[in-house]
Amino acid sequence: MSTLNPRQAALNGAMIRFRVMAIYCGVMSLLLWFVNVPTHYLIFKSTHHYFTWIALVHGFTYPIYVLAAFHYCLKARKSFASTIIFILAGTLPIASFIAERRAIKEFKALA
Amino acid sequence: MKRSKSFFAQLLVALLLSLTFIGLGNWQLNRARDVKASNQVIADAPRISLEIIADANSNLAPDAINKLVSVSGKYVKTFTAPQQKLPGDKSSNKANLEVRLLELSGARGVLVVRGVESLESQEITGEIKIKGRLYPRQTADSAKAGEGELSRIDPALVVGQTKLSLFDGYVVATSEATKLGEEILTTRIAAPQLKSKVPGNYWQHISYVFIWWLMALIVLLAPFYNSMKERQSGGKVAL
Repeated sequence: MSTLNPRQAALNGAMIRFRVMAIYCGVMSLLLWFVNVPTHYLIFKSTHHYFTWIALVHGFTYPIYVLAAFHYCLKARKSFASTIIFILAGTLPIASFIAERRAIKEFKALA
Repeated sequence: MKRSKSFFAQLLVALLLSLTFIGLGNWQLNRARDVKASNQVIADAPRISLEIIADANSNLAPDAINKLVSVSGKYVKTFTAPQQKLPGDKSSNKANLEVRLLELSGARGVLVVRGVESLESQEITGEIKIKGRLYPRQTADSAKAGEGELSRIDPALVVGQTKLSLFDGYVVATSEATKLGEEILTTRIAAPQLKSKVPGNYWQHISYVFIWWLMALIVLLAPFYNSMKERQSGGKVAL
């Protein structure tokens, strides 16, 4: 196990929380965009009631992602514009995965 | 601590954005309330005479819609409303409905949906007392109308065929009786309260309320973001 330098150690907790929420939000966004929305508006409309929970769960857990992203960006000393981009990444299916990868890259660069 | 002009400009923009987000949160809160209200069962008010809550030749007041009404008169014309979706029926079943024009005193008339059209037309003469529920006129055609048919249940479609002054909307009869009190039987249709459809789910709208208000809070923190970063790093941070 590699040891963390003080800068990484200070960021580690916020980073783990952000990664967990980014992956979770990415999965929920994929379900929302490619299961919930199509069954509501496009195909298999009669099955939509099986998938209404997706929008509900994503809606109630997205604020947790927002808080995790804000805390991480603050700790990582990102600009406010980057913070907003990280927060909005939770609304798009692939964007939060990209944000998570970028956060790891930046974290490793601190070594 | 002295603040620069740009800080106050940022604060003003943040305040405006924050107020916008709070407004969007309130809008979602209202949508949630509308969804809740549209799902609630409203107790029926006591039955009232149609002539008290509506006038011929004028639009139905919103309060009059869904009211249980009573009206009496005699039938003067019979129509068929083909391929009608039955009120309150969630399946895609459709039926041909028998619609009659009821003449009231004072040369006024109202459309009455008696029920599902039967093979043999019932001969009904003389004064009839009707109990039913008042519905707003239909605005979309359910079928192409032929002779003696109505593409939708709308008094505007029969204006040219009668000299009566017509009431807006129509009554779905739940019972008909002769002047002597003898009930007239036919295949009735359900007459449930109409509910306005508000899209979405209550808790989904509530979750959006939280998101918008959280965004409002974050935007409000924008002017103080750099000083928060300074505190995190224990020193001055470049912009």
